[in-house]
Amino acid sequence: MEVIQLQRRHIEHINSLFQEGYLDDQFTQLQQLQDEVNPDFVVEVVSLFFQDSEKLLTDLGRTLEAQPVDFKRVDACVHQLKGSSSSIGAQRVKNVCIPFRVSCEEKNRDGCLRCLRQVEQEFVFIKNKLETLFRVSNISRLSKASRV
Amino acid sequence: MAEQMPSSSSALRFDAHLRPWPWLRSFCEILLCSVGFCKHGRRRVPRQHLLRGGVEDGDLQYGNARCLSSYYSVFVARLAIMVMLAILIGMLTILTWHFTRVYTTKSINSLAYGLRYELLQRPILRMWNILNSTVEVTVAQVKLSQYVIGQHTNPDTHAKQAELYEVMRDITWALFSSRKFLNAITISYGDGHVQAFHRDHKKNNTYYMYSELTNLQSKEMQMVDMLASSHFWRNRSSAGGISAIWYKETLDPITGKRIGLRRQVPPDDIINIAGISAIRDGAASWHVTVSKFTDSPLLSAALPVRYPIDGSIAAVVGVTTTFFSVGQLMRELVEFHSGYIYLTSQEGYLLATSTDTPLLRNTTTGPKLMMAVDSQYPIIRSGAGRLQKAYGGNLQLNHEIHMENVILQNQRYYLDSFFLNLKRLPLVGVIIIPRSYVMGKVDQRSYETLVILISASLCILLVGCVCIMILTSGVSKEMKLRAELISHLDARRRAEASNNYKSQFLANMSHELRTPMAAVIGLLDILMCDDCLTNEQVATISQIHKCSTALLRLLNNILDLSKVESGKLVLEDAEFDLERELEGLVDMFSVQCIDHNVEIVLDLADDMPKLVRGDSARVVQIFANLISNSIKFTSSGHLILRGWTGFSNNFSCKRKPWLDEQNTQVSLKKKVKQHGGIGEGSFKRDDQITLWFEVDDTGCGIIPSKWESVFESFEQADPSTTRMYGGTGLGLCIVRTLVNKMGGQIKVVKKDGPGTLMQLYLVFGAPVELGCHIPQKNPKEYVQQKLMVILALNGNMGRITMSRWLRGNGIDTHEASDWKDLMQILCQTLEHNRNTGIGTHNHLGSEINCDSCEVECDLVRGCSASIVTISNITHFESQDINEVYMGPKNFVVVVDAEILDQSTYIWKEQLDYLDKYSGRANFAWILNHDTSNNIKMELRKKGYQLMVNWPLYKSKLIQILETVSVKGETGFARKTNDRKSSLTSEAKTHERDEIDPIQFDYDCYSNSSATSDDGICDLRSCAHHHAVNDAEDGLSTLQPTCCKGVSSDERRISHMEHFNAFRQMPQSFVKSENMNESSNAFGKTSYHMISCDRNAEVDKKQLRDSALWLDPKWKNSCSRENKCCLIKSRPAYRNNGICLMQEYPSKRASCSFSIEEPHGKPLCNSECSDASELQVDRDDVQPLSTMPFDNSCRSYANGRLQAVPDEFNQKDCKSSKIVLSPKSSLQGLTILLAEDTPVLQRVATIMLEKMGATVLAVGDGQQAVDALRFNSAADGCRRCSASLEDGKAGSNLQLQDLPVFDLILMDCQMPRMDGYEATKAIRRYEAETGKHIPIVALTAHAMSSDEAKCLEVGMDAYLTKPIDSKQMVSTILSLVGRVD
Repeated sequence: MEVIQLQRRHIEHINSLFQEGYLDDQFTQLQQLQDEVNPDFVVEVVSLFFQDSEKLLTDLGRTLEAQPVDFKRVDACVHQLKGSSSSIGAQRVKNVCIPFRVSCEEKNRDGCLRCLRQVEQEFVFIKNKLETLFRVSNISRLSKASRV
Repeated sequence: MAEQMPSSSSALRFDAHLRPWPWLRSFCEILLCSVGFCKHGRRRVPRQHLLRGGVEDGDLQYGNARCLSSYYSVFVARLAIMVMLAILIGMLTILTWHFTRVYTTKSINSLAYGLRYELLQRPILRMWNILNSTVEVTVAQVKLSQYVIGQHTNPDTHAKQAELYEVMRDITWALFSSRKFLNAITISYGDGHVQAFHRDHKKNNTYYMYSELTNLQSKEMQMVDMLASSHFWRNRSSAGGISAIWYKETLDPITGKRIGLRRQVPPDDIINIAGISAIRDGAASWHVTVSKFTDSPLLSAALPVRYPIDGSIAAVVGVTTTFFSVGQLMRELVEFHSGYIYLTSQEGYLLATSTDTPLLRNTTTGPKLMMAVDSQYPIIRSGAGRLQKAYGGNLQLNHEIHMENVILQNQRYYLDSFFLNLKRLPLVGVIIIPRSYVMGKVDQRSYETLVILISASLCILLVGCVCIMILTSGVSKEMKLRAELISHLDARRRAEASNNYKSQFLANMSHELRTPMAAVIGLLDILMCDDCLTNEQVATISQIHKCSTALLRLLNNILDLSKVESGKLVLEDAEFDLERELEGLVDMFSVQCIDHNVEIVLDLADDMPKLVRGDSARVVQIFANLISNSIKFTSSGHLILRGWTGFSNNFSCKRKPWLDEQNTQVSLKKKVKQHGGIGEGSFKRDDQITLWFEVDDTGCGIIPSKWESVFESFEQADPSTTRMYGGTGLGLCIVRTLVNKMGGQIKVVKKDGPGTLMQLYLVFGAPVELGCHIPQKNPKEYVQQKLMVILALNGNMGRITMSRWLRGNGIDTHEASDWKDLMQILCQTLEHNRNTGIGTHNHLGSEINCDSCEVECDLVRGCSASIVTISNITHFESQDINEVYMGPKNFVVVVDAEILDQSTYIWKEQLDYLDKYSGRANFAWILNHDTSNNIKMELRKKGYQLMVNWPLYKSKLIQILETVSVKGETGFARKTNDRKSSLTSEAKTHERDEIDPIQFDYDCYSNSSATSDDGICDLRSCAHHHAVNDAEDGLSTLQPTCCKGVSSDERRISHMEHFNAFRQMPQSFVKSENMNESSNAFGKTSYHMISCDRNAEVDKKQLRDSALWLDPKWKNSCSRENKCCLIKSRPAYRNNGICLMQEYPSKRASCSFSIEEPHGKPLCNSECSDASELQVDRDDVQPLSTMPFDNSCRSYANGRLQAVPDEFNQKDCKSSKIVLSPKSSLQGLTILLAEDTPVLQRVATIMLEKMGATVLAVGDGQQAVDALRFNSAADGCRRCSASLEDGKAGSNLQLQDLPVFDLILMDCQMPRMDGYEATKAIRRYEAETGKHIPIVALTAHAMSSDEAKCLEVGMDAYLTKPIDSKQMVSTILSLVGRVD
C-alpha cells in the first residue's frame, strides 16, 4: 500500500515538475535510458549535473566579481551550463541561460549578475525538486525490493 | 411597515455604499410602499429581489426595473382613483350639506320673517287701537260736551253754571268709565274750570279732580274758567294755576260715587290738563307726554269744544292714555316667543319695550322720555345702536331694516325694524329675536349634519380606499404574477436552451465517444479473426471487446438515462438470451469481485427460459447496477445472483434449502403478499413470463428504515456512504425506474445474517417461437455417461450451488473446499475406481493400494517420505495408463487454481501430483485473471486443455461436461504422438501464457538441429548455455552423468563436458557441495527410471528432452527443500518436450547471469531468474554486447576471461543481437564521443550503449584526436600507447582494447581543444592514412552559421543539443551505412 502511494507520489511529483516547466522531454528521455544495466542512471546523470553546475556557478560568480570581467570565459561557462541543463531537461535553468548569454555578449555585467542570480535560483529550485524526487523514488524502489 | 423599515433600511445601507442606484430605487420603492399602504408580504418579495439584484446579473435588474415601472403605474392609478373618490365624496357631502341647510334656512328665514312681522304687528296694532280709541273717546267727549254746552248757553246763574258742570261731570264719567284704558279725561272750560278724571294704575285708584276758581266762585266755575280762559289767558291760566285750588276726590271705579273726601291737591301733583294751548289749529292733536303718576309715556289727545253758536271755543277736552298696555302685550309676546320688542317714536324715544326697564328718566324737571339708545337694557341699547348705524342718523319714513345675523352681546339675533306711519306720531317698531330661537336647531343641526357628513364621507373614503387597495392589489398581484410568469417563462426558455445545449453536448460527445469506440470494437473484431494470436491474447482481446461493448452501451445509455428520468424511455422488445447476458455480466464483474475478495455466484434455475423478449440492455443495466452496488458495499463474503421463474413456490423452497427454511417460507409468504395482485396463476400468462431475481450479498446491509428510500434519487443509506464508497445514489433509483417500467417491482427483503437481499421480479415477453424455449443441453444427459464430478472450488457458495445443481440433475458430485479434501476425494474415488478397474484390466502389480496413496498425500503436504515409495508410484505411473484406466465412470475434476498453494513452490508439486491422475480423470481448471502465469504455463505444459475462467456457473459446467463426454467417447487424447498437435491446438485455444515468438523460433531451431543430429555452432552455443547454467547451479556435475546414462547422443555430452571447463568455478562448487549427494542419488534414480521405462524405442529427441528437462529441476534443487524438489522432479519424466522448450529462455537468462557473475552480482540471483522471463529477456541483451568495453568488467576480463577469445565474444554478441533486441540498431558500432560536460557525456554514452553501440568517451578534443590516432595505429602499438596516454583526464581508458572507431561524436565547444580544431587535426591526420572517419558535430548553437562552420572544418553531420536519440540514430546510421 505504501509502495503504491509512494509510487503515486513519485509520479505526481514528476508530473508537477513537468507541468510547472521545471523539466521537459529530455528528462523523459533520460528516464527511458535508465534500465537494469544502469539502474541509477538518472540519479547519476543528475548528480553529475549538480556537481558540474555548482562548479560552473561558483566559477561564474568568481569570474563576474573579478575586474575586468572575462566575458569570454563567462560565455563559455554559461554555454556549458546551458548544454548540460538542456541535456537533463532542466528547462528553466536553460531558459535563463539564454538571456544570460545575451547580456554576456553585450558585456553587460549587471545583466550578467542578475542572470546569474536567476540561474542560481532556478538551479536551487530544480535541485531541491529533483532531490525530493529521488528520495521518493528511492524509498519506493527500496520498499518494492523488500516486498519482492 | 414600521417593523419592516429598519430591516430594509439596514439592508439598504449595506448596499448603499456599493451602488447608489439600487439604493435610490429601493428608497423609491419604500416610499411607494408607504404611500400605497402596501402589505408587507407583497412588498417583501420584490425588495428581496431587488437586494439580490444588486449582486446578481443585469437581467434581473432589468426585470426589476420593469417591475418597478409597473409598480409606479399601479400606484399612480391607485392614487388617481383615490383622489377621484375623495373629490366625489367631498362634493356629495358639501352638496348634501348645502341643500339641507340652505333650504331649511331659507324657509325658516321666511317663516321667521313672517313671525317677526307678525310679532311686531300686534303691538303696533295695539298701539294703533289705543290711538284710535283715544281719538274716538276724545271725539265723543267733544261731541257730548258741545251738546251739553249748547244746552246751557249762557248760564247766567251760578246755579245753572253748576248744573252744567254737573252734567258735564256725569257725561265725562260715563265715557271715562267705559274706557278702561284711559288714563285721564280732562275738560277745561273757558272760564277756567277744569274737570278731570284720572286713574292711577299704580294704586289702582280713580280720582276726580276739579279746580275751584277764585274764592268767590264755586270751585267748578273756577275750574271752567280756568279752562276756558286758558286759550285767552294763558298767562292768567298759568298764573291761575297758582291761584286755582285743586281738589281731588277718590271715586269708586265702577260707580263713580265719591268715596273719599275732597282733598286739595298740591300743584305738583296735578296731572296734565290739556288747555287751549294744546289746540293749535283747532283740530284734534295728540302727543306723547309723561307724567309723574305713571312710569310709562302717555299719549294725550286734545280737541276743542266749540260753542255751537259762534263756534268759539267753550272748552278743551284732553284724553290721556298710557302705552302700558302695549308694553304688556309686548311682554306677553316676548314671553312666548322670546326676544325683545320695543317701539320708539320717530325721534327715537322709547315708547314701549318688552322689558321691565323704565322708559323714562327722571330729571329735575320731571320725568322725560328716554332715547332707545339710552335704554338701560343692554340688548335694546346695542340693537338700537346698531339700527342707528344702519340708518345712518337720519331716519326716513318707510325705511325698514331686517338684519338676520346681528351679534349683540355675543349672541346672534334677528333684528327687524318696522315703520308705522301715524299722522303726527310716526312710530318705529323694532323686534330683536335671538337667532337661536328661530334658527337655533337648524344651525346646530346643520353643524351636526356637516360633522356627520364629513365623518361619514371620511369613512366612506377610507372604506373606498381600502376597497380600491384590495381591488388594485388584486390587479397588481395579477400583474406581478404575470411579470413573474414572464420571467419564469424567460428562465424556462433559458433553462431549456441550456438543457438543449447539454443534450446537444451529450449527443455530440456521445457521438464523438462512440465513433472511436466503434473503431476500437471494429479493430478488436479484426484482431480476433487473426489466427496468429495466442490464447492469452485472444482472451484478453475478447475481454477488451466485452468491455468496449459495455462501454459503448454505457455511452448509448447516457442519453437514455435522461429519458428514464423524464419517463420518455421506450423499452425495446427483442428476443435475447437472458442467461447469457447474466453470465456475461457475472464474468464482467468477476474481476472486480476477485479484487474485492468477494465470491460472485450466478444461480439460475433450470426452468428459466433461455430466450425472453424484453430490453436486454436495460436488464443488464439493472443487474449491473445492483451487482456493482452490492460489490461496492461488500468487503468479504459472497454475492449471489439468483433467478427463477416465478410460478412455483415449492421450487423456490427446494432451491434454497441452504438458507434458513423458515426464512425462505417467510420471504415467500411475503412475496406472495406483496405481489398478491399478480397472483400465482398469473405468473406465467400466455405471452408473459414473470421472472424473479434476487441479489444477495454479505455486505454492510441497509437498515430497515431505509429500505424504501434507497431507491429514491440521490439517496444513500448512510450519508457517510459517499465518503466511504463514493457514488451518487442514482443507481438504485434508475434500477427501480427500469424495473417498474418492465412491470416489476424491487424491494429490499429481510435477511438472516449480514448483508442485503434485494428481490425483484420482471415481466418479460415470451419468445415468439416455441422451439426456442427448449432448454439447452440438459445435464441429465450426462447421467447416462456415469459422470462423476469432483468440485474442488475455493468459494463456498459457488461450490455448493454448483454441486446442488449437479446432484439435482442426478450427477454424482463430490465437493472439496481445499487441497486436502481434494486429495482425499481423489484417493477414495479414483483408487476405488482403479481397484475395480484392475479387475478388468489387470496390468498392474497388486502391491499398489490405497496405502501408498495415503503416503503420497502425506508427501504432497511436505512430509518426508522414502524415495522407494515414490519410485514405486512412479513405477506405476510410468505404465501406459491411457488405455488401462478407462473406467466405467467418467471423472470430471473441476479444480480451482486458487486451491493450489501459491505462496511457495508447493503448487508445482501439487500440480505434478495431480498430473498423475490426469489419465484417469478429466481435469478442468478454473482460473482467474490474477492466476500467476507460471501456473498457467505449468498447466498448459501438462496438457490440460479444459480451462475456464472464474466464476464457474451452469453453462460453463455444462460446457465442461460436454467436452468431457465428447472426449470420453473418443478416448483420452493424451498420447505422446499427439503432443505436437496438442501444442498447436493449445496455442490457439487454451494456452494461457504468452510465448515469445523468438522462443518458438529457438524451439524449432533446436528441434531441427537435434533431429538432424548436427553439432553445429548454434546448438553448441545453446548447449553451452545449458552448461553455464548448470555450472552456476552447482549441480552440473550430475547432469552429464545423467545424460550419459540416458542418452546415446555422445556429441551432446561432449559439449557439456566441453563447457564444464569454465564452469568449474570455485564459488559454484562451494555452493553446490552440500547438494551433491542428494542430487547424485536422485540422478541415479532418474537414470534408473528412464532406463527402465524408456526402452530403446524412445527416440533420441525425447531422450535429449528428458535430459534437458532436468535442468530446471537441478536449478530448483538449490532451493531450501531438497526433498520436495526431488519429488517434484519425478513427474517431469512423463512430461512432454514442450516444457523443455519453454525453459530455454530461463536457461538463457541463467547464461547471461553466469557471464555477469564477475560483475560482482550475487550468485543466488539466478535462483529466481526463472521466475520472471521478462526480466531475463531484458537482461540478456545488453550485457553481452557491452561486456568487452565495460570498464568495470575490464579487470576481470584481464584476469579470468582472458582465455576466452574476443572473437568468440563478439560473435556471441552479434548472434544475440540478431536474435534478441530489435532496439540495438547501433549494434557493433564503436563510437568515440568527445564531450567535456560530464552530464552530456554520460547521457550520450548511455543513449548510444542502449542502442548497442560501443562508446568511448573522452573529455576534450585533444584526447579524441589522440584516441583516434592510437586506435588506428597497429595492434602491437596499443599497449605502449596506452601507457603513454595513461592518466589523461582521469579516464583510465585502456586503448589497447579499443576497436576501430566507426564514428566520432564531437562537441564543438571543449576546453583545451575544441571540436573544430580536433576535427581539423583528425582530418589532417587522416590525410596521411587516406581514411575518412565520419564526425558528427554536437553543438548547442542552433544556428546555421555553426552548421556551416562544422561542415567547413570537415565534419559530416551536425546534431544539436539536447540530443534527440532518434535523430542521432538516424544520423549515425546514415553515416555509417555510407561508410560501410
